Amino acid sequence: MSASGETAVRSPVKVEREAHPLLRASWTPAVLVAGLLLIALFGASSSAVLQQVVTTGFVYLVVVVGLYTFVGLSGVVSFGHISFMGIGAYACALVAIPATMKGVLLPTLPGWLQSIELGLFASVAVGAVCALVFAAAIAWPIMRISGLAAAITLFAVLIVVNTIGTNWDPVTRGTRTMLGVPIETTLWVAFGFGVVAVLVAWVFQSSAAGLRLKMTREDEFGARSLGVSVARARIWGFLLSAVIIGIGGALYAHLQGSFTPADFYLRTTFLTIVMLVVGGMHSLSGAVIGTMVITGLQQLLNEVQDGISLGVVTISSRPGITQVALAVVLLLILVFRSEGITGGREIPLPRRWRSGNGGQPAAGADTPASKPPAA
Amino acid sequence: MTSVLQTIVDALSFGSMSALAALGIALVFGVMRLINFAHAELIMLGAYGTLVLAGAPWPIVVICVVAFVALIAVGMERVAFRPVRGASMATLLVTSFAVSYFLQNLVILFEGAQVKTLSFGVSLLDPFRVIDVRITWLDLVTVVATLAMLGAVAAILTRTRTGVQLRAATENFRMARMVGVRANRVIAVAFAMSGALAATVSLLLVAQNGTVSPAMGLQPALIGFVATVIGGMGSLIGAVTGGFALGVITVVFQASLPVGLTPYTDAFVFAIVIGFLVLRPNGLFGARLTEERA
Repeated sequence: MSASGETAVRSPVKVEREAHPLLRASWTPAVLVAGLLLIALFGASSSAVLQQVVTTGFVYLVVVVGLYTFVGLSGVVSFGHISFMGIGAYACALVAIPATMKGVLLPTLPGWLQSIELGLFASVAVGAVCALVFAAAIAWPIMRISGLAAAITLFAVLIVVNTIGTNWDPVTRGTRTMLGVPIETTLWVAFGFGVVAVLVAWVFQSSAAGLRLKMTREDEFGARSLGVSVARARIWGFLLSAVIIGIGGALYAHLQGSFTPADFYLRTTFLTIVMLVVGGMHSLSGAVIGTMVITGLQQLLNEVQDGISLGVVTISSRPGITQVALAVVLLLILVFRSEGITGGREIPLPRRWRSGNGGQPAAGADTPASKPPAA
Repeated sequence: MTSVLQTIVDALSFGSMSALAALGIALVFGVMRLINFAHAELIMLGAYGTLVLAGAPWPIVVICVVAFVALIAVGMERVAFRPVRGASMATLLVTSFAVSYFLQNLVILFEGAQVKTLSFGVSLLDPFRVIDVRITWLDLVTVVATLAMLGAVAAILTRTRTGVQLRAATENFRMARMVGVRANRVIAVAFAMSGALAATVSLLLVAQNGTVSPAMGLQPALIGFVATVIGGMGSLIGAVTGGFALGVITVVFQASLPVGLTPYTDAFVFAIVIGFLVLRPNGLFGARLTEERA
């Protein structure tokens, strides 16, 4: 514990209980995982439709947490990360689709790729590695330029990857649907990966590399003056996020079974950005909460889009309503609460476990809310 | 030889249009440090404006579309960007992305996602030949309109009081405010000019392709975004040069790549851009302003 925790000068009354350091360190991830578990249990006990919604939510959770490890921690917005999702999904599909089916779908694939047939975890790993290799190839030039320029260049990367995906017929089937991926992302598989992603992101943001990355976000010049290489700090976050998002893409492939390059383009980019920003992009809790809130909201909106009747007025099905509504939600959050639902903070320790003063704030940037009882 | 000359003509035409898109984006970036993703939607809305007015005499169409898009640009700033002015780079970027997405889907909601055809300036597509090179009147109009717009922007920036204030705000926004430059006014003017430039691009695009669709603004705007990066963020001349260069490179690739590879033209162009950024991370004309936050 910090030595300054008991500054008797200002606070003669000692706080009765202080949280154990281990509890302090693991509080936020523990609460997040518990929350996710509740949602998973809710999903498991609901109708097949809702169960699918929850499962999809967990797959997006993996992607958004991956996005957070770069965008949230570095402060550099990326509109290109969904390309990693696409690469993960397609790489996973190429090794997971049964060989007989591949012969029909992709007759011109080389023989070794034609015959390969991997299970869930191996094919997800392939997706992750391919996303990582691609990210590693573009990381150095893009992480060196200023954050704004990087954001635009990554947007260009998204468009290039999409162009390649829609034209490389022998491997991706172009704009035609890629299908036949065994549907193996069940609710509990998605939940498991979601939890692992959250824990990995938490460990990373608490590690030296993660703290350096946060430092470049808070004060780029300050970080530099303390000997932190901005480019290098960003590269680690970038690579980790590519791996996590690649896994998310592979899970998506095993969730849907079939998809096209359009699944990994602007709509998904926007959806994941909304999830991250609405929750609060500067905290892991924000990424998790945002994903869950927007998943729920989107489900409601989809039902509206399918057409509902309000008394005499019938709102008929109109494509685009969901998208417009999501954009409005995002704009409202940006204008009125730009740090998102969580205000950019992690879930704080309960008040009675926090130290009276001088102690470390519960986690992240939380200011100690509890004042000493004696004035 | 003929094909080389033909490529030069095409490159000049496409390069000019790209330079216009880049300048519109760079003007707003200069004063607000905002990459306006919604510039793509300004171009798209201009095209839909042309669709609505199709059939009217062309000078009326041109004036109305330019005024309409400039108005949308100013309104967009007032409603969405003013509340987040001075916020972090991330917030500004996400806001403009959200505005872009909102407008695009609003158009899909009301007009549908499908491509629509219209005839505007069809007669401009008639070609004439100069030593075996096929030039359309539209190529000529594109280059002339670009030069006129660049000249007009340059004149405003150097000859008018507002223009000088705008350049001062681009150099140092806070300092400019301290010496009496009205921030709201200068920013509104920058957005209006950016809107007029976007409208010019949409009129040229519509005349060239004869189609409108909700996603049509993305490609020219993307070239504009990337152009501001290669030009060196904050440099207007850099953006224009970068846009022109990207347009030229695109056309050259289209003409010289083997047939099987032409769909990947963009991929090649942006691979070159990324390679260029390895050599010059700050772009052609430096980037002393990129780190500044208001």
